[in-house]
Amino acid sequence: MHLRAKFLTIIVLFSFSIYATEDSTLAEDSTLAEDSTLAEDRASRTSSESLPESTCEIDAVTNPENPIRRLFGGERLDLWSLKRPARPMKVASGDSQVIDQLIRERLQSVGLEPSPEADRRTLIRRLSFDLTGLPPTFEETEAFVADQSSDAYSKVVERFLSSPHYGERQARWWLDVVRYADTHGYERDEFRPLIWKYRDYVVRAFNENKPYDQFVLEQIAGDELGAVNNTDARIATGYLRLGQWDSTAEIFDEKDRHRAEQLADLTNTTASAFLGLTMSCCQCHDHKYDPLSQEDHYRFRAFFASLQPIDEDFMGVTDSSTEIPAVHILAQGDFQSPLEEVAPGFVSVLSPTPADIESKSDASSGRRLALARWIVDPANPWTSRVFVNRLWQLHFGVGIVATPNDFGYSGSPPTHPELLDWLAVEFVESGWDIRHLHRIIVHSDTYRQSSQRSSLQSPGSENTLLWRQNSRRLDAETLRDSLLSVSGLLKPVDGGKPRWPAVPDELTHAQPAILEAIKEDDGGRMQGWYTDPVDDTDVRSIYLVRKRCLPIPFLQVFDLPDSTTSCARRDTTIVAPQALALLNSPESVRVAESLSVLIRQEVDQNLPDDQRVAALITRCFEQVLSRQPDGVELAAVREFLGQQRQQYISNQTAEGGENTENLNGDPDGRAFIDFCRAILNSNEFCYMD
Amino acid sequence: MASISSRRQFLRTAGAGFPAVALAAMMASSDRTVTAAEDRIDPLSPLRERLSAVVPAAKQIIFLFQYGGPSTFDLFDYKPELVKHHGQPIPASLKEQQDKVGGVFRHCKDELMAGPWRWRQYGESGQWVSDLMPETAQHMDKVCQIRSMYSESSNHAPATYLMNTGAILGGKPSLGSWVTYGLGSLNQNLPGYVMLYKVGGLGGSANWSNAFLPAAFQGTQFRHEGDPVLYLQPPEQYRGAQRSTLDLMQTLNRHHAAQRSGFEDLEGRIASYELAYRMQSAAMDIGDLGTETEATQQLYGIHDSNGDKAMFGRMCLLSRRLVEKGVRFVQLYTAVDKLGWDGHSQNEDYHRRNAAQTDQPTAALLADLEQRGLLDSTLVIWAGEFGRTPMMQGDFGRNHNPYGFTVWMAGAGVRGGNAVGATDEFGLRAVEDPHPVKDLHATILTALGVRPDELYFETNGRQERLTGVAESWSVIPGVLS
Repeated sequence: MHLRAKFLTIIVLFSFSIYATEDSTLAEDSTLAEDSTLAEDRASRTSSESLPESTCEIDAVTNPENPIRRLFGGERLDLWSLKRPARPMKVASGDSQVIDQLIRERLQSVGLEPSPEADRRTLIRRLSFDLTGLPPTFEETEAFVADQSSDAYSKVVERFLSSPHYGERQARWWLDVVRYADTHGYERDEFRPLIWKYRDYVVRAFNENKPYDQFVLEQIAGDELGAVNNTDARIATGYLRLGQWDSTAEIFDEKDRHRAEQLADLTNTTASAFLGLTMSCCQCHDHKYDPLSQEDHYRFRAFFASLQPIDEDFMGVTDSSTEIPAVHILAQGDFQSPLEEVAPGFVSVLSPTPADIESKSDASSGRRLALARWIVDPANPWTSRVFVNRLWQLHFGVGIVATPNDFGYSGSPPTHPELLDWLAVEFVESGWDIRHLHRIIVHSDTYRQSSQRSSLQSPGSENTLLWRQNSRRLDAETLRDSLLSVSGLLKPVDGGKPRWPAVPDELTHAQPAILEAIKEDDGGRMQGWYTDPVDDTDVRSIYLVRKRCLPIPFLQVFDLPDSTTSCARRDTTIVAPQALALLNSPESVRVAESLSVLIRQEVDQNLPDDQRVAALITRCFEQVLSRQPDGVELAAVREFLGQQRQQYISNQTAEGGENTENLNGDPDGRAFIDFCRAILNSNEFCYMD
Repeated sequence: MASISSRRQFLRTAGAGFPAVALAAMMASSDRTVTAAEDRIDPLSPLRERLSAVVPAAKQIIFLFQYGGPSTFDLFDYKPELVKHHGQPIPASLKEQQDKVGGVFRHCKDELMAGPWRWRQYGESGQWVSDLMPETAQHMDKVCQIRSMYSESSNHAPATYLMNTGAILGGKPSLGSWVTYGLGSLNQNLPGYVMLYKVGGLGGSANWSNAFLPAAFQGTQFRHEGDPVLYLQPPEQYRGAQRSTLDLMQTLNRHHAAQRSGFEDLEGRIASYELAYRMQSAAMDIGDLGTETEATQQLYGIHDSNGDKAMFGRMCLLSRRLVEKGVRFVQLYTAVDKLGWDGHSQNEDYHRRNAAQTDQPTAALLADLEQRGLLDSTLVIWAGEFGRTPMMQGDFGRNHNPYGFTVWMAGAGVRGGNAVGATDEFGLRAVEDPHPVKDLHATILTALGVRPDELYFETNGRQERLTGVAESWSVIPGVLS
């Protein structure tokens, strides 16, 4: 019933030219047509011979000589994620109904019922945070509540999906997965002056609804696609350079060790991010649980061997088809203990022979392109599942596979394997259309359920089967962005260089490398902290600098992930320093002050006192929580304002002349700011239902 | 008591180790399935004390991190042969072996260099200490030196990461995070893991990061001046009316939670604000050194005319006060500038300066802890990221030396008046009982009653441990009593 429903049925032909010409809704926001090279590349890719057509063609299953089969004595081949996803036979018609059907089947099997739909205020807040990472305005909320038309919900969804904030929100979680930062890390932790172009590329890719296969190809092998004029594809290869880099390794003759670490890091991150494979676990020995050998790690690593060592020029990587350093299996992962040499090769359980690589020119070995094409091969059993699972997690807080970077035996098995497969196939057949996935998920009844826990449902807080939605705390960036948004401070910007917010002096002074920069003794390497004027930092948090050795404390305390390894899922912890930061930090107080000014400006100061106070309180609730206060709240705040005012006046009297400068401010004003601080710290503001 | 013993029993038999089973619940909000009640670190009170597998010798730790790489044979590891060969070319016996980590020999001259120190034996145990550390030397009967440590990097940031997190790659949880994750803390009104520094180590906050462990276990900086904890108080004009603001917020929160029954996180967040409020006064109290006697203040040298010593004295005194109040893990960084002990040239000056700054406060800490009976349950650790070369570098300097250096421990569970392992006759390489850093970590965890292999966390498909692959470490023999 929603946009595109044309070829849901059994299309097992994976020729991309078909959908591109036949399905106009898919082409409309695809950038594919504009780039003939990419279009050709994609059309030329069909299900490759290196991947099985169906489950019975997993090489290790059919081929007695397969090294993985021999290595593990034929075991480990029943790993669920090895099997290529297939649509379950019995599904409803209509995309979102399939989701609901598959969720309800599981619920019914244990005697549970899905929850009723959430109210509209909850729905628009949920949609707004999930799709744009910002709270809805009161006006938006009221308009949606009042909209009686049958497509009211779809209209809201489409508005959020086409908002420029959509890309910012989605880019944030992708940057977690690829461990993005603006600095090198280690001793000097130098600023990378142009890496923000990669961040902007990711924002743009989501906003343009770049098909996911293209997104993958560009990041891993944009330079090898042959699209000379495609700047985006060059910038996208910034992905290959996101890892930490120790510029001092060379001074201590540790360059070889460090290069080995970097290659391992890139191998592990790529396997986690795109495939949900834990290649880091088979670096020193064969994998303990999964059908992966130590050789597989190094075969995978060999795809990156032709990358030339990093130089300071960001714009693109440097490859070479000549003089590619040999890649050896390393005994115990030790770079000084090479064993036999290996050629680039895909995961042996599926494809034991070396990869077929076509070198296009001297300047490019073609290795990464071969890898990227294998990753986006529709027959790859992991790529589509891993991505749809990440999107599911965005919308429900937990993935169908709760360990999004680990689709192996030690990860969580899918709670709804058929649903995961159905989404994966649907995703590929839609032309890897990310917005399409969002649409079918958010239009499902499952997504739209209330998050209320019901005393009638027995399994307590457990909700793996999704009999309700999950309530969630806002993540660090969403919380900060929401603070700026409701206080009227948030400035929309079109990407660009990262902004440097003020951080406490002692944190910069705690850093030897920053001290060196403060004394201008860092040889122009940009080791410092370059605080921007506060107004320039009132931008979405994705545009703030991510310095590896000095995370912004306000964000860090709200579970900002470490940017050294791929982060699949944010933690949600509750600790006292969060309360201190949100109540007392200068940035929080400034937001409260700004909110107070905004509200007071909007309320007629000539109203009788009683009405004016009620109007102020009401307007503040509307602005911060997108709703009006109820009677209990109104009374509580009204009482607070009166008492707080008195307290400030009596403090002033008691302290006499002391601190008169501060205490001369009007007690009414300060009481109201305190109310603003309270409401900005409230659970309702920090959580979504 | 039945519940405690059954809990211990559970911990012992749980095979996977108690902190490990706590993971799943901790990682997620309360929406995630948990398998057994005891499996979880309570997200609402993550620092609740957890019992170790065995009765521990040590309950708390003060780690005095000697940033920059102190030359330990200039301080504790007496090398008369080096004195004899001062000014001579590097002997073949040192050169013959490969510079495996790299970058050590290349920057050095072909010349051995001894320090100008006088050495004496101290205490009943007769341990040698140079005249750089005359005060600390008085406590050598409490100290066990480990003279055969080696590192895996000759570069500050990776080696500092290794000493603090067990890995040369940044991005792993620090020792203090692992310890508080495993054991919680003894005072719920204070952070469990506190950092004190003027200048941290190269590599920055990655040295006290929780990395993939939950944020409750990250190092919190306790400031030696001003408000002791960042954002402890609002800007001045909003002080004096904080409780009522908090009360309003909690009224709104309870009203909100009443419509969302069963969602524990909301209650947890309400509780976290009360904890923050209590932390304000608890932390302010600890930060108030004026309540200490004049004698104690003098002991630590907090008013010394050497400002660096006074500052380090305040940090040492604060760390005793933190331990006294039940903070599980306190770490101090000694550096006052970006160099610390890093004497690439004029090594003597660097060492005189750093020793003058740290000697008295370190000795005071040991004496004060002992006098208050706290040394029985507190393990004090003294370690840098590596040592320095006996070969001269540049202008009377010494290069980094990852091949052999000394660290020491004192207090709870430690066999004092003792030294284990040895470097070669010139102090370059650990030759007798050499130990990697993970063995030091294993020894520390063991002193805390934690079995190193049982302290793990599953992330990205791996069981991550401070001490690396299971059974790849050993507890350093002779250190623990």
